[in-house]
Amino acid sequence: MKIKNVITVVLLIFTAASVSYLIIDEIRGGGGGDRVEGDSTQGDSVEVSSEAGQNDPGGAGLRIVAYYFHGTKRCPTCRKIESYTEQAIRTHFNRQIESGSLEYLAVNVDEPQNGHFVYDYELTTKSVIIAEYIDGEQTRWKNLDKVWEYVGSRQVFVDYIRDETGDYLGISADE
Amino acid sequence: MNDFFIGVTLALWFGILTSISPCPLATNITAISYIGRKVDHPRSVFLAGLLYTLGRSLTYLVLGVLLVESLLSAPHVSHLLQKHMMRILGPILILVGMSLVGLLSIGPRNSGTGGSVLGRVDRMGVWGAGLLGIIFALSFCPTSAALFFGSLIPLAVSSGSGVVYPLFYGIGTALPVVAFAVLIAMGVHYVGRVFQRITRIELWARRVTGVLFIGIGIYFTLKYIFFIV
Repeated sequence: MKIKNVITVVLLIFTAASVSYLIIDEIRGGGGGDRVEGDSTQGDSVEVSSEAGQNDPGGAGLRIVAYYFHGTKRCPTCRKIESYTEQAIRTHFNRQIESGSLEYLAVNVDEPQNGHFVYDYELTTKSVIIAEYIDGEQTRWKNLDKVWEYVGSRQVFVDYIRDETGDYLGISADE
Repeated sequence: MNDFFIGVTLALWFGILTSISPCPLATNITAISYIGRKVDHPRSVFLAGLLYTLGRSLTYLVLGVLLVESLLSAPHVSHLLQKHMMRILGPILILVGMSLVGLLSIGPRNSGTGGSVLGRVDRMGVWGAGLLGIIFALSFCPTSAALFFGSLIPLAVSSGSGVVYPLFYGIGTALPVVAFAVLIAMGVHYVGRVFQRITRIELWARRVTGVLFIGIGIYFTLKYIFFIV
């Protein structure tokens, strides 16, 4: 068999296997939604996975959640947005995190259980959302939609998250 | 009028920003290679560039009209395209690449007109650029989704124009790709003429394009279907 024929057969088998796997994966619930990718750059970040209701903070009183919404496949810029957001929240709102009134969550919207967030927050791409809950009920939220504009500069980005979160929620950032 | 001009400029700029961002790099390389491969036929390169631009612009125009008229939900469409299009793209690129290098024969080898399959692929190559524009326009990555759904569509909604802004956005996304393709093709054409090797160079350009399609197709398949890259 000529080398050209071998290459053709190998590529066709690879393509056919890929398409078959893709179809099966999509039928099973698709998009690799059951895979939660690890991220070595994130340290102790909280990656929320599946269980229903886990992302909706309950409990009495005021609670604030800073969400970073992503898909299963992560791009370098998306990782940067996630990293800067977590850094901004943990650096400037450490007091609120320790007291339990503020939480940072990274959520994979490709997981079936988290798909509702796409519609709840009208997400069109990887996004940072600040949400306020009172007695377990969400009262307001904001999409920090300039994250893609500011991701080129870590300092500008971190300042943006700090200012927006502080202004919107009326809590002062730790200096 | 002034607002309209600013809006159009912004739309064009968003398109250029999308095109030069790192995330569509692989598809842009593929498009540059496809558009510019007919180094012996400068008119074909221009025509392919034009059709690629048209394909992209029309796709964004249709999406823009549907979104601005609220016939489609932006989060739904964006999520769907980002999740599925890149997964389909890998196998498509491999098959097109195999056709370009002559590994894949679709139908009989000799048609009634006497042309080989590879010849037919080549002949429809210019129109293929339009199809490529449509497919690549639909293959949203996070950056292009942020710029199109997050920046351009709100702009189009606020001005009530789902036609003009997406059209210019499409032109912006194609401009850098077409410019590079034309420049490279012209450069290679010049060198080929100087050394009187233009036919041979064109043959190699087609092979390189095919190999690029296959390589990037395999990369996309491993990355978006098997999640192992």
